[in-house]
Amino acid sequence: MVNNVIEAKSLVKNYGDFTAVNNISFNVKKGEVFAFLGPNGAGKTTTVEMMECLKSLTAGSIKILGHDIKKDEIEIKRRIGVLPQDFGAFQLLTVYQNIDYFAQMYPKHVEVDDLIKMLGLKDKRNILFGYLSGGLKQRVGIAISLVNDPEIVFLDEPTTGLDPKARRDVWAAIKDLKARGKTIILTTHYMEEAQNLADRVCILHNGRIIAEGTPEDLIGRYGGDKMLIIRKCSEIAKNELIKTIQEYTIDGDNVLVKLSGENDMKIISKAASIIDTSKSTCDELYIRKATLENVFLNLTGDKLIEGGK
Amino acid sequence: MSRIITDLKYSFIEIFNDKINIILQFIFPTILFLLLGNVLGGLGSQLQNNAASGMNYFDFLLPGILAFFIMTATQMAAGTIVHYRKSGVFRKLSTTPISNMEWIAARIIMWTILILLTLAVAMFAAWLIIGVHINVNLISLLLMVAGTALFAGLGILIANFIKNEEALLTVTLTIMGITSLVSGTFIPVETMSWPLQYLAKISPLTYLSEGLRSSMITGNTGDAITDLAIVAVLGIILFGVGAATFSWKED
Repeated sequence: MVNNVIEAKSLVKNYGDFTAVNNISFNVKKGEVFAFLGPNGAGKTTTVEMMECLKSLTAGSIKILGHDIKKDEIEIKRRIGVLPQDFGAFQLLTVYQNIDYFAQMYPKHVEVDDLIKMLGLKDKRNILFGYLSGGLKQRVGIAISLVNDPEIVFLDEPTTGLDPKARRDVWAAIKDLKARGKTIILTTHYMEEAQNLADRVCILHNGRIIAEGTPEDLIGRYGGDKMLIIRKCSEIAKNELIKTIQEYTIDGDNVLVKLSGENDMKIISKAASIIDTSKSTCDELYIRKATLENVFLNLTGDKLIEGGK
Repeated sequence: MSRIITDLKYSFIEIFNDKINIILQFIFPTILFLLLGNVLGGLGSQLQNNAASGMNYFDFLLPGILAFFIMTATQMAAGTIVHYRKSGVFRKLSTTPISNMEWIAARIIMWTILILLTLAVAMFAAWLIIGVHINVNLISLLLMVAGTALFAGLGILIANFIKNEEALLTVTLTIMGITSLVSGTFIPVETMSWPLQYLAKISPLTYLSEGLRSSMITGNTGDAITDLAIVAVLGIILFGVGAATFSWKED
């Protein structure tokens, strides 16, 4: 309990008749990256916005760093850093001026140029914010979220809409923050992002928590079996494989074998030896592990990405 | 206090970084008086004869134009709020310790200084180009400040209801256009039909224009003080209601 920097109990947020967050509880430990994962409309942003003092609670309670969010909003704001969804800064101020503006909002703040250096923005220091690319704007947003040297950093969909390179840059920045001992609350609908960055993942669906744990734990519990994929096999190889291995599926030239845990290594070595001895050819052999996408699919029947069923 | 000073400082930097906007802000009054000088210059003696109070049309018009510039505080306030709301600046600001009130306090100072600078340019241009004699005194200065607060308050109130920039421009231009036509800004109220004269009585711009005319041109201090009192009370009400209802939270 002592290690918890956030304690949320029975959180509810209603908009009229619509319940966006439906009676959820969770704790976040000091120094961890805690990710809310879910499709659009799952309630991720509403949940973090209640913690960021952006939205009021319909019911329930939140304690951040031991302070009740309903009573100590100012104290909490001084100790957290926030990169809100759809973050925007002053278009006609430079990177330095924007970061300095927000730094001056706090009684104590870090050196602006140190943040600029840390986020790799040195050569953009005197460029107007409005002229920056999406990825650079997000990096400025992360720099601004750190101006008060916060103990907890909230990053709400920090990579949405970014190209792969910019996304990797933001991931590197997040990993660096974790290395500096910050507690990070992340929301994302990218399973790869959650899997890459998070120590613990809380999966939300229709305003409710449907699973919570480490990515490995969730994949182990809900991801389903691993699969041995043997691709582009000749007829001879395919016949040999299906004679020897049970629980296979044929998909054109490919042979898919379910790995349920106990005899995995035996099955893999058998497959390898068949390919080796039959003088037949297969192009590729690999193991496909389950991902958080499979976890979500198995738990809800929906895909994580928008519109998928 | 330091947060107010920071916002004030950077809001000015932001304004002056917007080169086109700032050029228009200060060049427009000069162009306006150049045009007026040319268009109405040839009618000087006729205009003098038509004015019962001894004022010529330029004397009548200048305070009206100054009042119109003060009314642009509506567009300034509403435009800033709607833009910051749309671009996510308020979303970010609301996660920091600065309060709504501190931000509004900083911005009303900035809008007032900007309006006063615009008026200074306009008065200088009017004196230089048309030769209008202007008496800037404490009452006229107070009228300018109270008028800015009044119309900025109106802008804040409008921004509470209008959420996008395109609709905002239509609404503010309509309000400003109608108000300036019926408030004795460009045309004397006495020459208008009775329904328009009634509208003039309920328009705050009427009292601002008349107050500026009395304090700066005719020297009628009694009338100017009465108009100042009306503008100040309306300013306190509109700005107070605007500031009290302004929120950057999105609940």
